[in-house]
Amino acid sequence: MFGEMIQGLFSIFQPDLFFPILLGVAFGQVIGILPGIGGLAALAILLPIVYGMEPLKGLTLLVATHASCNTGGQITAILLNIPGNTANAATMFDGFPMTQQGKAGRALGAGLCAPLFGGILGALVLLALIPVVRPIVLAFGSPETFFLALFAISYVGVLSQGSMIKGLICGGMGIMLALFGFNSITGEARYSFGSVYLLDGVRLVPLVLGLFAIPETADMFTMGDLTAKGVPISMTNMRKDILEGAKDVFRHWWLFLRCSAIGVWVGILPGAGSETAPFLAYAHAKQTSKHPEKFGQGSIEGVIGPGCAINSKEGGDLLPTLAFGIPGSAAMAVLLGGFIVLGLEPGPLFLKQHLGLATSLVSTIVVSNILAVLMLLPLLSRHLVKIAYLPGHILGPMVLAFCLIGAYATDCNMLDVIWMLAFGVLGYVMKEFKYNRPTLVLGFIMGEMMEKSFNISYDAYGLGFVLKPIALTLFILTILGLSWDWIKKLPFLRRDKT
Amino acid sequence: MKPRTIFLMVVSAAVVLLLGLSFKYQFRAALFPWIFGSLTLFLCLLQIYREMTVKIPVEEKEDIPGERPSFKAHAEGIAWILGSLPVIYILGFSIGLTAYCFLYFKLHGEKWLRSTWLSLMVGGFVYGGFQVALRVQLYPGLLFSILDWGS
Repeated sequence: MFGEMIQGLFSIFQPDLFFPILLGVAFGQVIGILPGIGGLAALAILLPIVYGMEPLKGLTLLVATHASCNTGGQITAILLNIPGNTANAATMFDGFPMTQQGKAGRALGAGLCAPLFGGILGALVLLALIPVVRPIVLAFGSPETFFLALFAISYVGVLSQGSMIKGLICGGMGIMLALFGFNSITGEARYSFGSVYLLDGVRLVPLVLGLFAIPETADMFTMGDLTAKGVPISMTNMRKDILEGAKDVFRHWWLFLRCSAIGVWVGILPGAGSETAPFLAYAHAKQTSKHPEKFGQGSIEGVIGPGCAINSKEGGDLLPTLAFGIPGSAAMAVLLGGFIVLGLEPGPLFLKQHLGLATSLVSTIVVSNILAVLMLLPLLSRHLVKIAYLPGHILGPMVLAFCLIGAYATDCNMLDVIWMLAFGVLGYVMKEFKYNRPTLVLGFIMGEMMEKSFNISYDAYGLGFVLKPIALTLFILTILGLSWDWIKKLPFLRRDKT
Repeated sequence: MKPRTIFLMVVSAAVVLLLGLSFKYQFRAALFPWIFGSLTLFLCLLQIYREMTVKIPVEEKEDIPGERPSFKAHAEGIAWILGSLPVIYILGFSIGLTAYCFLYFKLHGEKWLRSTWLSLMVGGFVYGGFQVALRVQLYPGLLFSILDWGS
């Protein structure tokens, strides 16, 4: 086993595998800097491109892109107060005030080195957990998989921003969309409406592009000018200041370790939403700081804390995705789609059958994080940052062109483009009315797996599969999670009554 | 009635349609649609009831404080996005997307030169990256199919 792991770790250093990583990191940087387009959209755009590629090459391209997106977003968050991704927003709180105080270099140094070391730590934790998690994972059969998927959807729904009911509606919508097409047991074509296209069900790429990339593009079309408006940046002494910022990460090594651990943990939790990790880390950094009053006014700890968590979550995120086939975040749900597109099925057997591939993804995260910083420091940051000054009316049509060709290229079918635009309208409305789009994608991806697991479990055990210990525990946890809002209101659990 | 309630009603109607259709299928094929369709419908109706009777907390409302684009801007943006489809349908991907981008840049105040090179860059990326490098058979467009230029 360890031989296979070590072989996997070093497999990416072959020239034909290193090129996709390099390409992914460069693409990730550009996407990270573009305001409004996050790692999620980057993965969605790349999904049709990796279609048909060799699995390891395709996956290294996807993982490298995703691993480096957040690092690129740190630059615009610090220099221009524009987060490249949602997760970078936590860096803005203290990064931009530092820029205003003439400490841009120091903030950039800390803001780029914290994700670098956080990302490496997260990957090492993932590597350490792979052998441990394997026996646990093998205890997961079809009944457990069914209930785990149910648990994940309900958990994501419950944790949705705003309303639990709205989150669960999205999960239900996703499951219903997954039921389109041929049923594997009876062979019946469900909801085809006489269309040959729908016999194969709803396609993942148009769905993801429509739900996530199109609404962001629509914002660029409607808002017009999304990007930066001439914030003066002093580039003098940049290198020295950047080095000083990097040293700050080591000076606050205990904060770095704690915030990285928060990132890993939030990443592992299915449905906690990896975007929350940097905010939790920021809150923790403020709570534990000797100078909490300086937070929000240019505190270096306020840059280091979220910076660590922003990339350490990637390692944690990958663990449930690889081991259980349960994505920890929306981006991982899309990555899971990438696995499926490449003919791989993450889940209980994945680590047994593709251990080398799993460990090569760990080294991809490490190498991508290093490359991302090497590309950005110090020279490229000056040039890449100019993309953030592109007005929305220039970025919008270009991103739309990416989406249109991306949707078409998967199957060379114009109907995919039409479906993508239809899902785009749905995504736009859902975004406007604050419906949780990642839950819909999660429900869509889990739906088919749930039905398959249910049918296998029912055929093997009858309805008794519900009583298997792990399955029953997960079922109880699902019920508890769904009813937690009511349970916490019970008189004996209310603190204010005591 | 509020737009968000209308949206929920549309979702509910779609779920009712899917539930109705599932009665035609065999038990094993209809089981999942019944279970999850009923649950989704129940949740939609519950949310409609909440929105019509209960005061929704601020964080659940869709209105974000601050400057919001007007309805006209929304409609215009969506019309531009949906308008890309007929352009591609008639002119195909390479030429259609180049023309679409050029038109958009020019109508939004960009200079001739910048509009031209930016839209040519998009067209070049689509043609070079997908048709040449990835060997994707791009849709040639209705016009060029009729004229038999696509192949």
